[in-house]
Amino acid sequence: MLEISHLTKIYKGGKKAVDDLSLSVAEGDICGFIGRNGAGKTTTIKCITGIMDFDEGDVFIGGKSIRTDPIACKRMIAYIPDNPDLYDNLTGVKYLSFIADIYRVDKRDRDRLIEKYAAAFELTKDLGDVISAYSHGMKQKLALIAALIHSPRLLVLDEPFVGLDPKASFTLKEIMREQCASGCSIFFSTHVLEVAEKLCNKVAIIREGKLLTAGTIDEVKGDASLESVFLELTDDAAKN
Amino acid sequence: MRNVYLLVKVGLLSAFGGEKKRKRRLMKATMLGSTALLGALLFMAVMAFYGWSLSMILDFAGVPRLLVSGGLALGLLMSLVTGVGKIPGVLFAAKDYEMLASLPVTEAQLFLSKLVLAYTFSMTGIGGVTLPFCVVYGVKYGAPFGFYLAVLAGVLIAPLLVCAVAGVIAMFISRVASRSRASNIVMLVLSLAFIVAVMFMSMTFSAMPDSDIAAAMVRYDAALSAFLPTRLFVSAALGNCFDLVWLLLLCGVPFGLFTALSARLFRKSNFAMGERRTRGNFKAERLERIGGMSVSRALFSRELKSYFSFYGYVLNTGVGALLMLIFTGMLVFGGKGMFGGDVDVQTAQSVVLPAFVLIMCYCVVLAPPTASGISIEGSRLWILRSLPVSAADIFKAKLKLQLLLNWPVCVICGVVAALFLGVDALTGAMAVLLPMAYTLFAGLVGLVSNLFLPMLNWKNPMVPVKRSGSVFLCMVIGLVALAAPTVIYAFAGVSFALFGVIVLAAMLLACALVWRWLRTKGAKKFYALT
Repeated sequence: MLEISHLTKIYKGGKKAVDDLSLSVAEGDICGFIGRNGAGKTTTIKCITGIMDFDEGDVFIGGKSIRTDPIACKRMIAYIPDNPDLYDNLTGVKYLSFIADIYRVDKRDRDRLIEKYAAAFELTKDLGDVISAYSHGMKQKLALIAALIHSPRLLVLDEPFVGLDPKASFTLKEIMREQCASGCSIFFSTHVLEVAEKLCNKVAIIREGKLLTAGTIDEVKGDASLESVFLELTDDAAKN
Repeated sequence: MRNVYLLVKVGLLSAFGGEKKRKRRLMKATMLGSTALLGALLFMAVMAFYGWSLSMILDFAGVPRLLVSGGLALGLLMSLVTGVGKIPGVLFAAKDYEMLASLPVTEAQLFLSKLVLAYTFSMTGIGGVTLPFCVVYGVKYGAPFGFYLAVLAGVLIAPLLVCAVAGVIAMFISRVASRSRASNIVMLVLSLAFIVAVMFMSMTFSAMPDSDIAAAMVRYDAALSAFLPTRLFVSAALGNCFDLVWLLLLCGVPFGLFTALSARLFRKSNFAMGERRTRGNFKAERLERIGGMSVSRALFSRELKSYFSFYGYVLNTGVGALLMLIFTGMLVFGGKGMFGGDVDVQTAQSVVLPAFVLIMCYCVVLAPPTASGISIEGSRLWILRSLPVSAADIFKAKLKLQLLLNWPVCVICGVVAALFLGVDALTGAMAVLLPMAYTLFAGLVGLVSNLFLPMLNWKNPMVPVKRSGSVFLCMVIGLVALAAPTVIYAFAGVSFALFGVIVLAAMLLACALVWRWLRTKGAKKFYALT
């Protein structure tokens, strides 16, 4: 579903944020993208979602290139940034309606899905309020609902658990599993290694823009814990 | 005092973006700094030129001191109009209030620093207009050194009065606005009503049925002599220094009262403005009433909602449409005489209507919302970029806003002017079509300049609207596009209808080329913005 091929992103000034990164995520996979602060996770995610241009390589979503056919790719993706700044002046329901209009979600499906996910995240009664009145967690929940209402084939989430209360985190994990069971792929970055270990069937570890390792959880961690493998790999890379 | 100084310093740096500039590369910082300085100098030079031209009429009328009193009156008026929009954001709904209140500074220090900021903004407005007029007077009539000192003192005192009056008006407007759920719209309507009222008052004043300009100037002088602040200012500047004390009392007492009043409300209003009305009673059944829209309509609808929810954005970019209506009102109510005596149809077609069209076009190129339309997205730009829509669709939505704001007004004003002046159909059509073409052109150029000079990392949304390079660049390009045909027309000696058709064709061609660039290279630039 997601194929990253030799992706390289160089910022102005010459800093290589992503360096020849190749990775694939199949249908039904939940892939955790792990790395320290400034490792290049968010830049990679922004390149995947077509928000940011990149210098070399390509990204394929469902076989289509984000470079040559960005609109078809974006139609298959739902993206949530780490700090979702939404349109403060719109009400929650108007924002969801805007997203549904853009993704051409059928009226009946839209109402059903908004109702379902708003209830799951306990946000229904707040949908009539303007987003500027929402807390960080509520904005995060609204962004999640917006991502889910157009039934994406690939969910790309940047630190999705930051700011969510324990109940919402649990709900999100359930929804992620449910989405994968229905064939959707999920690619998300996280700092919480326990979550990655329990939730993902695949992980990829990145340091200074370079992919250190990628594969199924068992392939990557072996008999050790994900935490020890992560620390060992990133420390080794730092020494080299 | 150190805390107050630091708070004022950080307030000024954040208002004028000094800290950011220091961090930018030298060339960019120099370019932006020079542009700002050039803009300020240009404004003061225009004021001085205007003052110099006026001084000749005033000499003839025998009231040269009107240059001094008129300069102050104009400065007070401009500062009052801008103060009504500016002061609430400084004193009663400061965006940085919560952050500053968490610092180890007293409430009084915080309030004082905000008061100094409000005063500084008013003083900049008054000084920028009054000083050039007074310098012209001083140079032309060989005023002594004391004149300049008294003028300087007056310019330092007068903002106290503006702060007090603008502050009370702003308090009234925000109080009414805060009672409504649609507070932004109420704020906007009340502020626009105030600006229109002020402009219409001055228009009525200038449209007095008097063909004798000298007599009109004498009347202006009499009116400003009766207005206490200008009377005391002129008297002090012309040698009666004791009147400065009276001016200080006249401006200082209302300022003191306003300070006492706003000090009581400072904390409360800042907290109240930070709060948002919430209902928390949305029911899922209401979803059925929310209908679907097409992609382009959804994008445009969001653009409209965002635009009208931001008071400062509307005030700064909607001013062109407002000015067009006011100028058309002046033409209709002030009569053809405002262009220099009664005119026949021939003069109306070759001089009056072209001059009117020039003013209309000037209004539309002044501040198109597209010039800051991309910057204003700020940290929310990720939403548009991640949506499955093309950059051209996004540009179209932003462009439609500019057209919606100006095209209906262009049609109304053009038709009214053409009918009022009784020109032929083709000339009349140009009065409608040329401003419309310039509206489209300004909108497109606004997008291009915003792509070249984006400002996405702002804390205060007024920064990209008022102080971004793209707004200035767009205005300069628009003015050049307007000045070139004006100069050619002045020397070409062709009929306005024919010339208008040629300019229209050229503008449409330019629009087509700019749009082509936007769809191709502009789209790439949009996705490369950081």
